[in-house]
Amino acid sequence: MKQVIYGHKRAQRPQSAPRGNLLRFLRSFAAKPLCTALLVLAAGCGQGFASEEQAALLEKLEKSFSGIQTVQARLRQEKRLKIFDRTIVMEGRLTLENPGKLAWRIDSPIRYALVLDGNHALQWDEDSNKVQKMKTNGDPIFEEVIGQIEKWFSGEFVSLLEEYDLTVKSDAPPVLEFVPKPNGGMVGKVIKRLTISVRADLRYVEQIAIEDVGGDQTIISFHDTRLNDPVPASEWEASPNG
Amino acid sequence: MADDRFSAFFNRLAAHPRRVAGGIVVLLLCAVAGLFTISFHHSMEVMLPEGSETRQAMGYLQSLDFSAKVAVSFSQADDKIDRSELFLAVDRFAASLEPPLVTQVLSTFEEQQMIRDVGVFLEHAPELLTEADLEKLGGRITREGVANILRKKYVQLLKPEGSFMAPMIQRDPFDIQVALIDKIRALSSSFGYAMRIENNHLVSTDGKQVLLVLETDIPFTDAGGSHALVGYLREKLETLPPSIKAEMVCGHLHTISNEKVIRRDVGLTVSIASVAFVLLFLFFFRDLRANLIFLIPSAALLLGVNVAALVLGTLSPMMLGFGAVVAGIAVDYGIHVYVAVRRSGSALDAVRSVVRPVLLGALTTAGVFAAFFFSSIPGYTQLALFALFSVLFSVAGALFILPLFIVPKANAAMPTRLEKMSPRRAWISIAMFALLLAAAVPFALKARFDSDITGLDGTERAILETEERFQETFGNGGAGQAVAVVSAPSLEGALELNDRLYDALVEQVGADKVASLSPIWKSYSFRTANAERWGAFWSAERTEQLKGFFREEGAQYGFASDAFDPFFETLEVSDVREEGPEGNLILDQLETRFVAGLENEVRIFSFFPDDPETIAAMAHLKESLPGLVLISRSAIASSLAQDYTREFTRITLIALGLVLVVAALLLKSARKVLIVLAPAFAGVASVAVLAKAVGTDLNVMNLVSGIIVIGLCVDYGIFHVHAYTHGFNLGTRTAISLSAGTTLIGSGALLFTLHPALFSVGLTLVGGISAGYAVSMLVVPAFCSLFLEEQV
Repeated sequence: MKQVIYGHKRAQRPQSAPRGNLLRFLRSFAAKPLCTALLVLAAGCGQGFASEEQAALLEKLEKSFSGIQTVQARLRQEKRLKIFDRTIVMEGRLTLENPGKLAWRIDSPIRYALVLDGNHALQWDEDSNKVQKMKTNGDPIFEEVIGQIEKWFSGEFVSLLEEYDLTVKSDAPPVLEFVPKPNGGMVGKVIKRLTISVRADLRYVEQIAIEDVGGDQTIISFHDTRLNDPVPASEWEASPNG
Repeated sequence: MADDRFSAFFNRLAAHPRRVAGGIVVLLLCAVAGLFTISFHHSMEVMLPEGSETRQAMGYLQSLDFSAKVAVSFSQADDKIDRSELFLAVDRFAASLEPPLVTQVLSTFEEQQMIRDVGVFLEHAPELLTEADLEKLGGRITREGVANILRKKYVQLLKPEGSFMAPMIQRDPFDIQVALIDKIRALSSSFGYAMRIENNHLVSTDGKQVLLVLETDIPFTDAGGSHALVGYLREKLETLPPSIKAEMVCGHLHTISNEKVIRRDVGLTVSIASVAFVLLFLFFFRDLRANLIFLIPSAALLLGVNVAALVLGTLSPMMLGFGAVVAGIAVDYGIHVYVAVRRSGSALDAVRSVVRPVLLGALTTAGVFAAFFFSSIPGYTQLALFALFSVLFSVAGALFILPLFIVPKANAAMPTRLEKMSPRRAWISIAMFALLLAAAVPFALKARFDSDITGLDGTERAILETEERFQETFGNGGAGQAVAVVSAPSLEGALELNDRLYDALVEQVGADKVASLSPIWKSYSFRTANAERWGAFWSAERTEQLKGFFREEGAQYGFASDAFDPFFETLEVSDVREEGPEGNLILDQLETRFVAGLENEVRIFSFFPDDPETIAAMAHLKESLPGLVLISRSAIASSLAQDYTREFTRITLIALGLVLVVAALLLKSARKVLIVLAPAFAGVASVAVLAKAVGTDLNVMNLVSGIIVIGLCVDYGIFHVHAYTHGFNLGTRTAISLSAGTTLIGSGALLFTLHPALFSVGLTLVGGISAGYAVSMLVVPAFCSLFLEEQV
C-alpha cells in the first residue's frame, strides 16, 4: 500500500477528511516572518561529531560561558544585501537573561525592538508604532528556534553540531565556522555559512557573520559587553521607550 | 354462502392436520433461509422525507462528513517511552496497514514539499487575480504609492528576518503572492481543526496526541465491512507498546455499536417477554398448546420480512425493531380464537363466532398501517409493507391453523352474554372518562416535537465520549457554518459555478466571511480571462512608469537600480493549463474540504456564517445559479420538525379515515364507530401526558408507535362492541385483557432497552395501550349499556 508523505490520492475525490493540518503549517510559514528572524539568530543546534581538538575547544568555551546569567551589549549590524547598492549599517543593543529572555533593539537607521520572554514574542517598530504580540510556547517552530538561541548565547556550541559541520578557523581567539550539513533541515535551506568569533578572553561572542544561500551577508559585532549585571525590567518591554 | 365456504375450507384443513403442519414447517424453513439473503442498510436517511429539502440538505452534508475516513489519535499513557518512540510506533502502525481495508494513510509530511507546493500557487497568481484585484493594484502604482511600499519594505529588510526576505521582496514588492498565501491561511482557519506539525507528524496543539487519518473504501453504512475494518484496525493497534494509548473515531464504530446495542436489546426483550409469557402459561392457560398463539405471529413476522425484502430490495434494521410491536398486535387474533375455542364445544363454531371481530380488527389495523404508504418517509413505507403482510399471515394463521391444534373445552359456567352496566355506574364511568380526556387536552397541546433524529442513534456512550475528546483536542471542523453547494457533471463546470457563487457571496457578506476554493483555485475559463486581463494590464507604458518610480523613490533607501527586476520578470504569464497542478498537496487538501466527486456529479462547497439574515439575503442567488443549494444547519432542525409534523398529520388523518371507513362499513352504525374510537382517544391522550410527565419531547418513533396505539385500541373497542351487540360472550373480556397484557409484556420489555428508538416505542405503547385497555374495559361497556341495543 502506498503510504503518502503528507498527501492524498487525487483520483478519488474523498468526501471529507480531518482538515487544516498542512494549512496550520502554512500559517506558521507565511505569516510569521519572525520565525525566519529567529532562525537567523539561532542558526541551528544539536549533537554531532568533532575532532578531539575541536571537542576540547568547544568544551573550554562551554565552561567559560557557563557562568553567564545576563548579557547586555551594544551591537553593530552590517547588512550587505544585493537588493541594496550599499551596506546598511545598524546600531543597537542586545540584552539576554537566562533562561529564555532576549531583547534585540535597533536605534538607527530605524527604531525597532524584538523581545522574547519565553512565552511570547513582542515586536515594535517606529513606522507602525504598534506592539505586535505572538504566542511562542506551543508553536514548534518558535520553541525550537528559541531553544537554539539559548544554547548559542550560552556557548553550548556542541549542540550546533547536529545540523552543522564545524571548521575551527582560529584557536586564539577562537573563530568557529559552521556550515549546514547537506541534509541539515530548514537551516540548510536558508543559511550557507555561519561564523562565530569569540573574544580573546573567551568570555563572550565578539562577532557573528551569516551568509545566506543567495549570497547576502549579515555581520553582527558586539562591544561594550557587560556580563551578569542586573537587567532593568524596562528592557523586557517592546515600546518606544524600551 | 360465505359461511359455507369458510366451513368447507376449515373442515378440509381440519381433516389433514399433519399435512398442514408439515407444509407450514417447510414454508418456515424456506423463510429462515431467506433471512440470510436479505440486504440490511444501516442509515438514518430512511427516516427523512423523500424529495424534501431537508433530505437533500442532509445528503449534501453527509458528503461533507467523515464517511470513509478513520481518525486514530495516539498518546503516551505513561512516561516509560519518549516522544521519538511514540512517533516511531505511529509510523510502524501506519506502515503495517494494507489494502483492501485501508487504502491510504495520511501520517507524515515534508516541509519542503509544502514550500514547493505554495510556490506553485504563487506562479499562478496572475490567473487568480480578478478584475477588482487589478483595479486595486492599479491604484497603488503611483509615485506616492510606490514610495510608501518602498519605505515599508526597507523597514522589513532591516528587521532580523530581512536578509532572508530580500528575494521575496524583490519578486513581490506589491505583496500579491503574500495576499494569496494569506487567502490560503484564511481558508485554514475555516477548517475548524486545530493541529500542528511536529517531527513531520500531525499533532494536537498541546502536542500530546499524534493523529493518523486512514482512508477506506468501506462506507460506514456497510455493517459487515465495518466489522471487518474495525476488527482489522483493533488487531493492529494491539501490537502497539502498552505505553501508547490509541483511540479511533469513525462512522463505522456507530454502525457496529448500534448493531451491538440492538442485539443486546433484542436479547433482553425476548428474555423478559419469554419469562412473562411462561408465567402467563403456568398461571393462566395451563395448556402447552397455548404456545401456538405466540408461534403464529413469530412465523408471520418471519414470512412478512421475507416478502417485504422481496418487494423492496433492502430493509432498514430499525424497522425490524418494530417486529416486536407488530407481533404484539398480531398475537391478539390468536388469543381471541384460542379463548373462544377453549370455551366452546366446537372449534368451527368458536372460530365462526369470532371471525367477524377478528377480521374487523385486522382490517382496522391494516388501515392504520396502510396509512403509512401515504408517507414520503421510506422507513414508514418499509414498515407498512412489513406490518401488513405480517398481520395478513397472522390472521390467516389464527383463523385456519391455530384451531386445528386446540382442544375445545366447553365452559358452562361462563355467562353467554356480556353484563349490562347499571345506568348510574355507566354515567359515572363516562363522566370520569370525559374529565380525564379534557384534563389531557392541555398536555396534548403543549407536546413538543424533537426533530433531531440523531437522538435515535443508539451508539454507546464510550464511543460518543471518545468523539467528544477528539473534538476538544482537534476541533469540530467548523460544524456550525452554513453551507452553499453548487454542482455540475464536470469539475470544470462546478468550478465555474463556484466562481460565480464566490463573487456573489463576497458582494453579499464580504470576502472575510466566506470560505471558498475560488480565491485559491478557479475554473479554467476564469483563470484564462484573468490571465488575459493581467497581460493587458501590464502595458509597456505602465511597466516603464513603475520602473521609474522604483528607481527614483528607492534611491533614498539605497535600493539598487535593478532591485526589482525579478518582479518585472514575473509579469509575463505562461500558458494557462486547464488541469490543476499535478501532485500539489495543498490543492489536494483544499479539494478534500471543498470538493466532493460523486458518480455523475461534482459538488463544490462554500462556507459562511449560519445566521438567518445572511441566509435570507442569499436566497435570491438561487435564481442566477442553477442548482445552488443553501444549507443552514441551524434551520435544518426546524425544517425537519415541519416535515415530520406534516407527515404525522397526514398519516394520522389517513389512518383515522381508513379506520372510520372500515369500521363504518362493517359496524354499519355511526354510534358504534364513535364508541370503538373511545379507547383510541384515550391512548393518544395518555401518550401526550406521559411524554410530558417523563419530561421528554415526542420524536419520530413516538409518532409511528402512537399511530399503532390507535389501531390496537380501536380493536379492543370493536371486540367489545361486537360481543355486546351480538349477544354472545366466549370470553371477550378475557381475550381483550390477554391481548392488552401480551402487548404490554412485549412493549414493556422495550422499556429496559438501551437503544433510544426502541425505548421510545416501548414508552408510547405502554402508555397508550394501558389507557386504551382501561377505557375498553370500563368506558366502552358504559357506552354500550347506555347507547346500544343488545341482540337477543
